[in-house]
Amino acid sequence: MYTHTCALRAALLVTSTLFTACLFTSGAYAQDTGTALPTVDVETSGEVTAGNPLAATSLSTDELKASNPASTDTAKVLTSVPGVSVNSGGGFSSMPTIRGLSEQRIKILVDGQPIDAACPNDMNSPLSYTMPQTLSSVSVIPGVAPVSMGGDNIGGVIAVSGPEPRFSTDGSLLLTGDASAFYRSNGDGFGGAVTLTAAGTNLSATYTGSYTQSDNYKGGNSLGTVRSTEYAKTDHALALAWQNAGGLWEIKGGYHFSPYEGFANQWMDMTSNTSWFVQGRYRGVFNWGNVDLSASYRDTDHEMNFLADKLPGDMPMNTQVHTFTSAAKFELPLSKRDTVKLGLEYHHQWLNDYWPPVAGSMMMGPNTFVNINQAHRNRIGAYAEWQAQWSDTLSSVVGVRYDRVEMNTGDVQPYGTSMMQMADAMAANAFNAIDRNRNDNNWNGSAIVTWAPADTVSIELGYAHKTRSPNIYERYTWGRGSMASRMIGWFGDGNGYVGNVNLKPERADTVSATLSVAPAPGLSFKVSPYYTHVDDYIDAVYVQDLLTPMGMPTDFVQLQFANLDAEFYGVDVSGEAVLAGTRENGTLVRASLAWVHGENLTGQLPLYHQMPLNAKLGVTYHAGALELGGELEWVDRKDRVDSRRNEPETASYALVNLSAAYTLAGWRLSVEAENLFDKGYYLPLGGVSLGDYKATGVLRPVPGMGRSINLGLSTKF
Amino acid sequence: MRMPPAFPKDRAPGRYTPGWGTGMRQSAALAGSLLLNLLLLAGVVAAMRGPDLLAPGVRSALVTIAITAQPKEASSPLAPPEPATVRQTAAPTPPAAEEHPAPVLLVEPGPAPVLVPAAKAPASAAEPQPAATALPPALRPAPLLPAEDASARIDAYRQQLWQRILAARPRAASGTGTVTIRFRIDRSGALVSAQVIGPSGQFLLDRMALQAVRRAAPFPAPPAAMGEAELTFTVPVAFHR
Ligand SMILES: [Cu+2]
Repeated sequence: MYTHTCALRAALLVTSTLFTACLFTSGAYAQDTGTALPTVDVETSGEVTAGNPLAATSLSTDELKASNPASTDTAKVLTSVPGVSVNSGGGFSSMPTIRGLSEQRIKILVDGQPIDAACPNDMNSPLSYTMPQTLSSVSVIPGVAPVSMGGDNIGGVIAVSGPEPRFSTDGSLLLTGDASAFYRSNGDGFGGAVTLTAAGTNLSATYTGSYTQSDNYKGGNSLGTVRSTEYAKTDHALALAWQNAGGLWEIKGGYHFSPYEGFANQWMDMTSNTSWFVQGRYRGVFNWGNVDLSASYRDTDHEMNFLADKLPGDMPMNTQVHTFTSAAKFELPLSKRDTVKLGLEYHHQWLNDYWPPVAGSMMMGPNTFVNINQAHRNRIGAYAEWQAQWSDTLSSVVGVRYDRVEMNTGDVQPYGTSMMQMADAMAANAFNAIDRNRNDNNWNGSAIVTWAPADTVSIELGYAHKTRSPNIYERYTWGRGSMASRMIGWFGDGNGYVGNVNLKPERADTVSATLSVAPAPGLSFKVSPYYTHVDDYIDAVYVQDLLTPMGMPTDFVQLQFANLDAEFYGVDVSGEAVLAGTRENGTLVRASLAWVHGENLTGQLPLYHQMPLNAKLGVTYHAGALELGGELEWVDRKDRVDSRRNEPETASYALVNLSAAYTLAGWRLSVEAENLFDKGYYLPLGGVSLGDYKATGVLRPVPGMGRSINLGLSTKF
Repeated sequence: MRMPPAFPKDRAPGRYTPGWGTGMRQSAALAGSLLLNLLLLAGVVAAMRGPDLLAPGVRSALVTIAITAQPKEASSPLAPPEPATVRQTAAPTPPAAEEHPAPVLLVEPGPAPVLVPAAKAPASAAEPQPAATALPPALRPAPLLPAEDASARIDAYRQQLWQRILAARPRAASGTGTVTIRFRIDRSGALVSAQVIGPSGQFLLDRMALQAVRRAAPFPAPPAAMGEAELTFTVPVAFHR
C-alpha cells in the first residue's frame, strides 16, 4: 500500500480546495460530462521515482533558452550541470566530459538517436548537429545510468531532443513557435533560430532551423586573437507526427551544413560538413505496456583542409559515414510496483576515410592515402531492466545489458612508397597482412536504489558495470609517419596517434551516491561522490619523439592507443536558495562545485585533460518582466598533467558574467557581459593552440574568450 | 569533386574483399531493418485493430459512452432525488468498503466531504449552505438524516475513487499540461469506458492520464444510492514540474 508522504499530502491539500471549487462548477458541467472529480496532480520531478535517478540532471526549455541566448555550442550549455566540463573543439563542437570521462565514453543521443563520429579528430561531435535554441530538453545522467538508456558507454548518457510533437486541443489549427537572434561582440558572432509548429488534433508538423557564424574570437587581456576559431553552420529539420488511438507516429528529416569551422587545437580545419538524416518512430501506450519503435539513417560527408590561419598548405582529407540505427523498446507494467523494460537495438556504422593526393607534393602523393577503407562497426544490444516502486519513498532499478560489437575494415595504402614515405608504407603493409576482424561481447549492469527517509532528504546509491568497445579510429588507424599520425586524435595536443587493432573494450565499475537535502522551502542542496575504476581504459603509450622532415626535434610525440587501468573519483556539489520571493519571481542564489581526480594506474600518472577544481556562484533576480543575473566562475590551476603528452599546465582564473533581460509585449531582450573584466586565461581542457603555433611558431594553450557583450532577442508565439 | 580512393592496379585485394565483408555488413543492416519494419508493421496493425489490444470491454465501451451520454442527460431530470433516497433506505447497512475511507477522509484537511452532486441539488437546497459548511468532519459517521447520509456516502465514494486514481497516477513524464479524462463505471465498480475529453496536446501525457484511470480500475462497488447518471465521472490530471 501507499504510505502518505509529503508529496501526496501536498497534492491532497491542493486538490481538496479544488473539491470545493468543483462544487460550484459541476452544476451545469455534470449534466453532459459526468461528475467532476478534483484534479490529480502529477509531479514530474522531485519525487522518488523508479527510472528517474536523482543523479540525473535535466535542463528545461526555459533554462536552455533564457540562460544562453547567445550560445551556439550545446556542450558548453551543459557545463551548468556540476561535474560536466568540455574539451574544446571548434566553435560549436566542444566535447562534453562527465566526471573525467569524455568522447565516445559518453553516449550522446539526439532525438533518441546516436550520431557517430565522422572525422579522425571528432570534429563533428553529436552535439554539433544541435543548436541550444532549438532544443527543448536536455538531460545528463552520469556513469551509473540505467542500462535501458543506452549501451556502449562507460561515462554516462547525454540525451537532447527537439520539441515533442504538439497537437491542437480544441480542433482549431494550432500555430505556435519561437524565434530568436543574437549578436556576440567578441568575434562578431551572430545567429538565429526558429521553431514553428502547425498542428491539428491528429497531425502536427514542426520545422526547426538555425544559422550561426562567427569570426575568430579574442582572448582576454593581452592574449590577442585566437586563430582558427571561426565557424559557420546551418541546421534544418522537419518533423511530422500523427496521433490516433493506436499511437503516435513520427517522421523527421533534417539537413546540416557547415562550410567552415576552425579548430584552434587541431592541425586541420573543417572545410565542409554535410549531413542529412531521416528517422521514424512509433510510440504506443497500451494496457499491457508502452512501445517505442524507431529507425534512423544518417549520411555524413566531412572534409578537412586548412582555413586561412593555417595556410599556406593543402591537404584534403575526406570522411564519409553512413549509419543505420533501429530500436524496439518495451515498458511492461507487471503490477503497481513492478515495471519491466525490455529492448533490442541495432546500430550500423560504415566509414570511409581517405586523403586525396596533393599535386606536386613529394610527401602527399602520388596516390590517395587510404586511412580507413570501408570499415564497419555493427552493434546489436539487448537489455532487460526491472523498475520497482516499493513505496512513495523507495524505488529501485536493476538491469542487465548485452552488446555485441562487430568491426572490420579493408586494406589501406599510403600516399606512396618513396624514401620519405617509408614509415607509412611499411605500416600499411603490416596492417594489410593482419586479420582485422574484431568481435566483442560486452556485458553491462546497473543497480540504483533511491530512498527518501524523510520529506526533506533523499539518498541514492548506484553501482554499474559498463563496457565500451573501441571506435573505428582507435582500432583501425595505422599511419606511423609523423604527419599521418598527427592527423589522428581528438585530444587537441598536437601529438600523433597510431591505432591499435588489438585494443580490448574498456570496462568500468562505478559506485556513486547522491544525497539531496531540502531542509526548508526554497533551499536545497545536493552532493554526489563517486568512484570509477576502469579496466583496459583506452589511453595511449609513448612510441617516439616526432621530428621535422629535416630530422629536427619538435614539441610533439607519437603515441599509440593502448589499454591501461585507470581510476576516477571526485564529488559534485550543488545548492540553491531562494533569498526573497519565489524561484520564478524573486532572488535566487545558486552555487556549485566539482572536483575530479583521474589517475593512470598503469603509469602512476595523472590522466590527460582532467578538469581542475572549479566552482560557480550565481545570483538571479526576477521581478515581473525584469531579469538580472550575475555569476562568478572560478577554476583552480591545472597542475596534474599528462607528461607523456606534454600537456601544458594552466593557471587558475575567475570570471565574472553579468546579464539583464526585459520582456515587453512578448519580446525578450537580453544583454550579457561575458568575462566582464576581460580576464586573460587559458582553458584547462582547451589543448594547445596549433592555429597560433603555425602562424607564430610559439606554442601556447588555447586561450579562453575575452570580454564579449552579447545581445539577444527572442519571442514566443 | 570528391576523389574516391584510387587503388593501384597491382595491389592484391586483402582479406576484406567486398564479397565477404560488404555482404555481411549489408545482411546485418538488412536483418536490422527487416526486424524494425516488422515491428513497425505490427504497430500499424495494432493501431488499426486498436480495440482488440486494449483490455476487454474497454475500447468497445468507448463507443458506448457516446450513446449512454444522451439517455443519461434525458434521465437526469426525469429521475429526481427521490429514487436515490428510496434506494438508500432500502440498503441501510453500508458496505464495509465504503465505511473504510471515511476515517481516511477525516485526517485530510479541507472541506472535501462537502461535495454535493448536481443531481442532489434540489434535496440539498432544502438544507442549504449552513448544513454543508457547518458539517464538522467528526460528525460525519454519526447518524444523520437519510438524505444526508446518502449524500455523504456518495461523497465518500467519490473521494475513494479519486484516491485510487491518485495512487495509480503516472510516476514520471516529460512535459507539462492538463488532461481531462471521462470514465464510466458499472454497478460492480468495473470500468465501462474511459476516454480523453480534454487533451493536453501531447500524446504521451494524454495516454498516461488515461492509463492512470484504467490502472485504478476496478473500483469498489458504488453505493446503491448513486443514480445511473452519477456513474460517469471526469477527472483532470495535471502534469507539472
Ligand atoms: Cu575532421
